[in-house]
Amino acid sequence: MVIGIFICILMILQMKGADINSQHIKANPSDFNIGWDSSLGNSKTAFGVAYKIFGTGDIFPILIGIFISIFVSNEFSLGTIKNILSIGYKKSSFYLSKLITVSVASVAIMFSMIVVSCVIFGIGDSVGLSDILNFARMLLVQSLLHIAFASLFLMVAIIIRNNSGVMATNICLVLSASVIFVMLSTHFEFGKTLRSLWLAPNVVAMTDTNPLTYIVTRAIIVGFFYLIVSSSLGMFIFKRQDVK
Amino acid sequence: MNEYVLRTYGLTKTYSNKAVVDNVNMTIKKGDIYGFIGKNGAGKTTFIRMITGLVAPKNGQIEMFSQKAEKGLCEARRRLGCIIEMPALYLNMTAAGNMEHRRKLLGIPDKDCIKNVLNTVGLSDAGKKKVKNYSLGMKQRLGIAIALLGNPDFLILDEPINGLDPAGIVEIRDLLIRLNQEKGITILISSHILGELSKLVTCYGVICNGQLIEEFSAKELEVRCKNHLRIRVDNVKKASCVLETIIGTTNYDVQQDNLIRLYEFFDKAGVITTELAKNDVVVEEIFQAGQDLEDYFIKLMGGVASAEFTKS
Repeated sequence: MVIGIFICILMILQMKGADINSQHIKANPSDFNIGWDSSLGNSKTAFGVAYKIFGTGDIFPILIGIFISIFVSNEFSLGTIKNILSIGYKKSSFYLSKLITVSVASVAIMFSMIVVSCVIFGIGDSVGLSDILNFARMLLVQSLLHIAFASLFLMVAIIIRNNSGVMATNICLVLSASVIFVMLSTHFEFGKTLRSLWLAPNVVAMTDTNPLTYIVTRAIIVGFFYLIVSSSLGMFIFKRQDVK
Repeated sequence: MNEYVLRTYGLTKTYSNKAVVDNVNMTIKKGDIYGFIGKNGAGKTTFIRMITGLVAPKNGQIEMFSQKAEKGLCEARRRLGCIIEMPALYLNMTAAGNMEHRRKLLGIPDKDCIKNVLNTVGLSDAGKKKVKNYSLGMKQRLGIAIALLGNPDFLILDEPINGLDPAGIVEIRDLLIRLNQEKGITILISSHILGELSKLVTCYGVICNGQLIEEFSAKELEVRCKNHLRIRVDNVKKASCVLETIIGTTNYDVQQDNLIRLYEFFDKAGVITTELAKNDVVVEEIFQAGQDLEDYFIKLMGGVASAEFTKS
């Protein structure tokens, strides 16, 4: 909940600051209608805020990456992982338990933002059933994509094991991947295809209030791909590592 | 019922092509208190990590409670309690919080067991103090408490008395002896404090450069280290008669190679030599021998490394 409130405040400040040079500026600086319109994705409602926050692509993954680096790496730095493994729990069970926990935490971070947005902004008066269903679909796919991010970060945490190293790597992974794919897509044709296979562009693509079917399908496939590959690879590596 | 709690067969671990544990065959019987002795870097902790499943061996096999297969070993390790190097504790929790976490991991339904174990190790007054504010001794006690939770059949303690005050050391020693005698818990304990180990253990294993040099019982060690007059004669039977009838003692042992160990009359070597000679027994050598624990182990491991071992 605290993280959700923090994100909302951050986004409001960001939205306000980003529109200072916009042609929609009105004389009254306290007017919070800057950047908002009547469309659902830009409405001054919980829906609009959610679409805008997901539209950045990076905020939630960075928060998830920071959480995982603290939550998982501490087990190694404190040595408490020894307490679990030395009494017969398998490494695969340990890994799976961490994966489930970080997945639930990732979704919880997202949904806390939704709840706080609902409290602060409300859901608006002109929201129809189709809007709600589209929003629910968007949330489900976003949940899958962010769980895939969590799985990737967990793999990094298991390999590196050092709190600050994991945090730095996770943040760099999110930020640099976006930059690299943007550069590739600018200069090369295959770069556009490659970019669509990374998680963050699919997170952004899903913020369309009525995305095309192939975009939804692609997002789901990409989400499952990263989830399965990173979990399998992470578990494989962890089973072969010594725990000191 | 198998009398062995732990057996290892050719257990080996290498790092960068260097064997840190080299072909170790260890045997720990049920009910033993096994003292595991070695210098820093000898391979004790790596060995312990292998038997607790934290590190995969390069070669060799582990048998615990008659289980050799991986699945069986996982089940067998449920009967284990251990401290490996420093106690692993959640610093932002209290003692009870750490114990509660462990209780849930072990699936123990009885919540009262936590209070009982904390009483046993002297942490019943810890209250709401978080572990990050504990002294080293308190952390060590909590680590032991965590290892004891669930009444393990096999306790593995890697340097458990580090950081404890003298009273604490005595308490833990008495606790371990009590657990061994009353509940039959088998204990593997590694320590540098030889004096303390000698008051506790029933058998020893000495490791040096990754190799288990020797295993022997506490009684054997006592015999080896005990002060005695070492007498080599040409006729052991005649010499024994002289010792019993003329010197008037039966406090001696006859060893191989015509060697007699006499455990008294250390200041009467001249008299003994004279009496033996009068009775046609040739004395080839006679001198006082025997050593303390530290000297014995240092000699066993070769070289001078007295800084690494301490007497109590």
